[in-house]
Amino acid sequence: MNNDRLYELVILHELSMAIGSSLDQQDMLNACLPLMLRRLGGRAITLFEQHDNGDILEPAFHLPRHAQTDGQLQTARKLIKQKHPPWLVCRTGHYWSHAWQVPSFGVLVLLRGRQLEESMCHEIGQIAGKLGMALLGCHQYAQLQAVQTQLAREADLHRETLLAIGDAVITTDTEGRIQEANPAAEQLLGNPRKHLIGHPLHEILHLYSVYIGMDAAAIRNAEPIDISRNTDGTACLQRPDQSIITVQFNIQDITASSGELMGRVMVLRDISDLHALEQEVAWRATHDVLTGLPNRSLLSERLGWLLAQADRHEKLLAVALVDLDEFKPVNDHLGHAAGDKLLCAAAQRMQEALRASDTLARLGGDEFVIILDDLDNINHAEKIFDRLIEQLSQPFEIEGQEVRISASLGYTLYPLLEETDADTLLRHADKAMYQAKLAGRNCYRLFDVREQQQRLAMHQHGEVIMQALLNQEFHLHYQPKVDMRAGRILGFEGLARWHHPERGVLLPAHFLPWMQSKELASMLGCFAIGEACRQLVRWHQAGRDWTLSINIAPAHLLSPDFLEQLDAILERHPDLPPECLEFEILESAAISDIEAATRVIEACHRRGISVALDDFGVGYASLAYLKNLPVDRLKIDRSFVQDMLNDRGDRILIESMITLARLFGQTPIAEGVETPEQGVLLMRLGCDLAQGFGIARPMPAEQIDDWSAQWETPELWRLWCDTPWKLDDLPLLAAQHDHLHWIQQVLQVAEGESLTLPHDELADHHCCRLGKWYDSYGRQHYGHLPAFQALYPVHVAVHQAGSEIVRLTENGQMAQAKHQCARLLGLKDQVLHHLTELERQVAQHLAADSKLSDSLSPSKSKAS
Amino acid sequence: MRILFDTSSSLELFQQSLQRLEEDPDIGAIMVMLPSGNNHPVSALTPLLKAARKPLFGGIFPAVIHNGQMYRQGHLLFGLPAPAEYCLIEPLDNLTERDLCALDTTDKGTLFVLIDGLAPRIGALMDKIFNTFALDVHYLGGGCGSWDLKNHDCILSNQGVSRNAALLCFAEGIQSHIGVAHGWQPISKPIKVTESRDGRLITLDWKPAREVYCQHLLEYTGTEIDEKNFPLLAPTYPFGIARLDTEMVVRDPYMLDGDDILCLGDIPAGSHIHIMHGKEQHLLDAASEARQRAQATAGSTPGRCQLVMDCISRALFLDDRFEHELTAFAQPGLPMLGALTIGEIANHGDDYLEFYNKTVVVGVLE
Repeated sequence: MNNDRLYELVILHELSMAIGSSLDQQDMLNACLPLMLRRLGGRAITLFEQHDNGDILEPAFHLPRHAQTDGQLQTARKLIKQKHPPWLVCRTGHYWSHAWQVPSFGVLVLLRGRQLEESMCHEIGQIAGKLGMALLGCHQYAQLQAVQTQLAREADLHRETLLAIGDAVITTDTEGRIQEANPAAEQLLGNPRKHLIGHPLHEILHLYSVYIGMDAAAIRNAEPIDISRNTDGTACLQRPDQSIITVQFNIQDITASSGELMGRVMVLRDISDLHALEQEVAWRATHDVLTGLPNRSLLSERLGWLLAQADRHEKLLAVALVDLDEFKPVNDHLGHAAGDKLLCAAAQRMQEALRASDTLARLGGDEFVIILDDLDNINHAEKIFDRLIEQLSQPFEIEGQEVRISASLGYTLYPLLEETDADTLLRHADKAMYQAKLAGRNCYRLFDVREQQQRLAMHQHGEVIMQALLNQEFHLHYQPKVDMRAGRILGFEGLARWHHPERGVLLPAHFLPWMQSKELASMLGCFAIGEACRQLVRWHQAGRDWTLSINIAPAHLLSPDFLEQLDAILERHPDLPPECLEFEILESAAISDIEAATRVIEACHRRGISVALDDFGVGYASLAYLKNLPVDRLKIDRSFVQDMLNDRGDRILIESMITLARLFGQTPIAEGVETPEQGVLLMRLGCDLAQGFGIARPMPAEQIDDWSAQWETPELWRLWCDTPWKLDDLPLLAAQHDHLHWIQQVLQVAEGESLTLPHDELADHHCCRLGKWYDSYGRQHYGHLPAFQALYPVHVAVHQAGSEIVRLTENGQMAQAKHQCARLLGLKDQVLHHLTELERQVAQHLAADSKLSDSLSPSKSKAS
Repeated sequence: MRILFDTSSSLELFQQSLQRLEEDPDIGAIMVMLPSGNNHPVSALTPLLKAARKPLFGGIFPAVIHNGQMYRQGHLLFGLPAPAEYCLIEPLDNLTERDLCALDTTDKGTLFVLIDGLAPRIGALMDKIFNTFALDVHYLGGGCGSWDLKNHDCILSNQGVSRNAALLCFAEGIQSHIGVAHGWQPISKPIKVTESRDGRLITLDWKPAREVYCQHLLEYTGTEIDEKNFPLLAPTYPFGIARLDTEMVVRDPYMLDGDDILCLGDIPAGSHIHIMHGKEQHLLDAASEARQRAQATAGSTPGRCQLVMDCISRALFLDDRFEHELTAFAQPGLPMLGALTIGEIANHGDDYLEFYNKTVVVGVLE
């Protein structure tokens, strides 16, 4: 072997040995390629890495570092294209490029001044093959090492993470034995690691539901939470030293990517402080800190729940609002600290007065709310309230001082008549509590739902009426007032009427009940005054001297700006004769604030306006009050007038009222006169002025002229007005009224209604009022008069006919009964005729007696 | 281009020569070659070097060569026509390729590489230089040091005198044609370097390096090698690292250290080495061959001078006949200058840069 070949083999061996000198790819290249360049005498060497897609090559290593590799890249690409042999030599400028395939990697290119022998190229190709395998090994080793490094890092990371985690982390095997526990777990469980590892978790860890509470005794009897399955939540944990903490826990399976169960991991966090804080926050959010009672929020929640319970079980529930009376002075005089103590003490007493199931809450200040559920009846609730009010009225000892308070309690019941909610109930209780305050405190009041509804309706109707007033839908209708004795029209009373666009003309009954507010009363009053003024001016201009009275509501009369409003209206009507204007005020209004009413009446007088006291007799006013009230006229209420013919008591009252009016210098006027007989009786009792349907119904202004032109004084009035008849003759005076009433009742029996007349008054002509008078006083004084005698047989026939009608009707003989009715109506007319004639003859007789008496006794006054 | 030489070791004369080149407007940089036999104190030499305004680089060598003669005293100054840029690497351990990149070698030229010949890790420096400049430039240089082969400050620059340093100077526009040869022949089969550290051979073929080496020489020469005769025999039996198609790279063993053998230049573990031996005529022939190789690459281009880096071990080996080697370099009409070096630096032809031992490097400069 010559030296050259020897050198070749040495170099090849040397290169071959350099391969595999390192497991790091770059280290191996750093060892092999410079050696190859040096030993093979090259000027540059490059190892190109071939991409997976085959063609694109990038230099993985080249020497010199800054040499251009483009030419070598061309050579490498040429080699890739040729399949065999796995190397090539080609000329590149002045140099020779040698390229070898490096399996699994790429191409090695050596640039050299002289061409290598083919055998050498072949042998270097072997080395390149070895290099490729070595690089592959390096690559795989690097990958393996990377994986190992990564695994080691992850292990480190997991270990460090586990140590660093503030939460307790415990892992178990599939059998539930503890495999790992971090320091936090040791601390939390109160067990050193050596006592944990290898032990079954369920023997170490006992979790209990937080609902059991933090009571060791309760925990002893409780079943621990099952920790053998995936679960999480909040629990109580009892530690070896018997202390109990609250933990948040999570237990999960550890499952391999293959799905195999590897064990379980449990994470626990001590949230005792947080839990306590949460409870504190929750308690503060729902309780009054001072008294420890539920606050408005919890009350609202509990009330909602109790209402639902009441609905479900159809039970009665009471909601009460309690306000401590005289609490503020305690606060002011003894200080807020004492006030707070009093609140606590009062809350304590209220708790004691209530049942265990009842709810007591503090709304704030000195206001408390009580909910009584499951009540049997209202008495049940009131017994509890009695007890509560009584206990609160007992003295308290606050800071060494005796303090007395009381409580005002308003309550409402559920269910109500209408659907309601918690807020509404509280509002009702509040209103009732206010009523209790108004009622003098230290008591309780039940909310009146009907009153509430009425107020609501009042408000709503009031709104409609106010709009109607603004729309000028109101007008005055006028009812005449007459002097019965003189047969003269005195004037009119203006009565408000609502010309409703849809419902037609509405009487005061349709709107007055809704006009309780001062504002509405003032509006209507001003309207009436203004309208009356305009009407009076028109009458005055037409030469009429009629008066016109209008009703002034108490609220309006006593309002501070009444006179101001009146003056403003009067100012707009300078042609008004104020003496023709009259205000009618209620007796009740006058006595509600008699001093104010007196001031207003006197002010009206100063303006020339007269004032009448309306509805006199029904206000039960003290005479002492009335005598000081400077009114001009008393209006006797219609309720007395209506029955005055039949009711002796009414008659006596009217007579008394008339006497009173005369005594106080006031003129009486009767309202509600519906029949001439009433008018006659009123005149006989001393009241000549009257108004009522018997004279005329209220009428629009445009009808007044026609009515006044055709109105005539009833004959009965003319007949009796100057006759000094005795009240013993009243049955004769009332006979027509009685007779018509008797006829009407009998006819109603024929129509199928039951009989209301006493049987003797039906059958016996001696038993009715006329019959009694006829048989006694009448026969004695007027038995000689022809009309008196003529009346008798007809009167008897009437009673016979009436009895027959009743009998027939009772026997079901309706046709015969109807026939008898026709006969009865004919008899009725005969009776009325005879009565009229009798009244006329009696009146002439009495007048003659009177004249005779006057001539015999000139000192006797007519008026008396 | 201007060469000033004086056999005197006088610093004043040296200073005068420097002054002359400093004042010569045609001179852009100055290469200084001083024989170690001058024994100039560093403290005296340094101010002169620092006073130079033009780029100054060079070294202290065992001897300098001027026109076919070796001188162990005097000074040899080589004025370069163009400004030269140099890079002082001191100490070598800190060398990075980034430092080398600071040197601008974009134009054609010659990179003079001077290095402390006894510095460690010279092989690594060669790798870095080649990795940086590749074959864009021609390399020419050698290891500086003293005749006694002891560590001294030996690298010269405008900064003064340095040791354990290297100096790279790029002479722009100066083209060079390199010829390298040594003439040593292998007398052994390849021996595997199984353990080494830089230039320290520890084991060969898994045996102590000393044992293997001495055994071969015992067999070849019949002489037992020990510490005393090692310095005498070893220079004639260097190691050779095989390269393909070209001269082996010779590594010169210069000292025994226990069972280890210290060499000039690195011998990496895993490489194969031969024990070499040279005959005088072979070495002389190699000198001629080196000149011829340089001349061959230059072709018809006439050189302006010839720079020779000849290994001190060759001078020691040839002894009296060394002047024949110097004569062998000579070319008529071509000024010759150079130095005896501790290791030679060149890239043989167009291939890898090497740090040679016992080799002669001839550069014909244009």
